[in-house]
Amino acid sequence: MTEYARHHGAIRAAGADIAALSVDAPDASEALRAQLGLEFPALCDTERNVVRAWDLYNARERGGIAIPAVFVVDPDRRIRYRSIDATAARVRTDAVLAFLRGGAPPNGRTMVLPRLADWFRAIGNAMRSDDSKSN
Amino acid sequence: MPPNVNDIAPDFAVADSTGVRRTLDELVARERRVLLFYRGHW
Repeated sequence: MTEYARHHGAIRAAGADIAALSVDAPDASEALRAQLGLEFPALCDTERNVVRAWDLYNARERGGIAIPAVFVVDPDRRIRYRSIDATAARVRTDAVLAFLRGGAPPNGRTMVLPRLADWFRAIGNAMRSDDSKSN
Repeated sequence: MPPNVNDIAPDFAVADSTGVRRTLDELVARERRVLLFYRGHW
């Protein structure tokens, strides 16, 4: 999330904006926005309706939370890019920005066979993941 | 399965952290939207 906050301007410049969604209550979400200085909305799916409808619901943790994922949605609501994270490591902003700038196919080889460095990063993030961090 | 590339995303209506009701239709109306699902605190 920190990385998306830092790249918000670049994403805006690439013709998009951001919205984040979790099952957190409004006060926790607003605290996170303040803490990270987020200038995009934090949506509060406290009823778990969206994560269920999108099949991104992890019922096994903390009473049910969202599975980390990134989508790029066009104005007609058509999904143009999708990355669903098997581990705690969310797709890096540079991959999203490359897509927004037209440099990467939506389901290109980079999605199937990530670069070696990304593998190491993902594995490292997974090993560091201690369930106490939100990002 | 979660919606895939080229699918029409399911619309939704939820409150944002400031209490304002937001729909996906409204969020994408002006420009494409990067939608992040995140784990949250608890």
